Amino acid sequence: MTRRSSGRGVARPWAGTALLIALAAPALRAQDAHATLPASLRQGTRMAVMALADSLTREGLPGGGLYAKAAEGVLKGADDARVLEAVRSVASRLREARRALGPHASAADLEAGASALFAGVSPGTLARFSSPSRPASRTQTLANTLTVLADLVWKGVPVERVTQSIEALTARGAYDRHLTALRAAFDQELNAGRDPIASLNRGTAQVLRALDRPSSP
Amino acid sequence: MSDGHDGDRLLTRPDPLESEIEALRAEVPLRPAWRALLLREIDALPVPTRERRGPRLPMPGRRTLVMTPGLALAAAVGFVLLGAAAMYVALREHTATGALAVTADQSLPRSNLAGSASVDSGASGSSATAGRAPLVTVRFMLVAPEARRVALVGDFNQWNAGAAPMRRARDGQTWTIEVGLRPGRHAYAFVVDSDVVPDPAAPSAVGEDFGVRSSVVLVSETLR
Repeated sequence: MTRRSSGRGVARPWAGTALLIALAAPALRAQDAHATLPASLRQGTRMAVMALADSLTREGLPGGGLYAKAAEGVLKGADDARVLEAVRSVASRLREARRALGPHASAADLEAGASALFAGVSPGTLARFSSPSRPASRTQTLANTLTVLADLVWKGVPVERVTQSIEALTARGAYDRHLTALRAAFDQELNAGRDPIASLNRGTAQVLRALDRPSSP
Repeated sequence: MSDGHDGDRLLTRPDPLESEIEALRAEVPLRPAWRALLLREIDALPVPTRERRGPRLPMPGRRTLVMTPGLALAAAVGFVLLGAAAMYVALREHTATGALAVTADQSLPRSNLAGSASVDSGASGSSATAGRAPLVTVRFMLVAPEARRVALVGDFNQWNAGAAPMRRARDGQTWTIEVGLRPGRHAYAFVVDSDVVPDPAAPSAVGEDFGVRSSVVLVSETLR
């Protein structure tokens, strides 16, 4: 009798441990595979975000980004109404970016396009950058170009001035890294106290000089 | 007592002691009534069982769990397996390698914070999940000498401040972390103690930012 009950006591922890492992492994995998919404959001907000994301995904747009946007809002202390407003705004701009950039734009292109639209870049300008006949299409990624464009416009440079600088660099065979260098040079000038247009001019001249050096690319 | 060997003879007991022992071994004369009483008492005692081999652990309810060496081993193996499973899942996707690094390291004079996101591009790492792009290792860095805790948050970890704590480098001022990211555009920021701050060296994630700026890193499998 005593021995039998002792045997059951040993078997149960084995079974419990095995069950724990079986339950934990898929759960850990699921954390990686699926975006989740913060638990602090109300049920109605969660449903609205999920419906919007699902709708975007069915349209071929990066709907998963809405989950991240909602989570960003929660981390930054936004209430449910503000989170929902931001998510709707992002969804709307992604659709607008798709119309401007065309059906072949990648998720990164669309997100960068949506960001540029938010900064004040017009859909027509976006379309100009996404043209397949644009000479930069072999040396620059659209997402990087639009990211630099949005950043500089957001920091106070008129859209046309940024466009001119990018096109001037592109005409000299600039790659993504040169546009990244332009943005970094602009930031340095701006932080040194220059106004946005002067900062762009100096940054552009600096990168053009680098491009003119024989070993540059 | 002696079997005739000289060596054994030295170990035999002396005769007077032997006779005492023999006397003690002799049966003690008992009255039959006393003997019967004694045997009844012995019969009434419970049958001795084998002593349990370890301390009893109190368990909820009526049962007690005996911590035997086998049980301890089983529990240890279980915990090791559980830990291994968790580590396997966590590390499985973080396998990308790269050869070329682009660094956007900037020091901003206006702020005591300087950061960067370095992308190890040209990823040749294998993708664990079929049909998904391989991960690219991205190294994030922030100079924050007075910070007590710094974490990396972004769309890749659902802006979870507990997901990617950064490590203070030996210089005591720089905080770093390497994460595996899928190619694409990622918004991110740093949580310095309890404040969300953008990467001062990266482009802004222009858009709905809830009044606190975020940054952008573009991750590509190939470098242009």
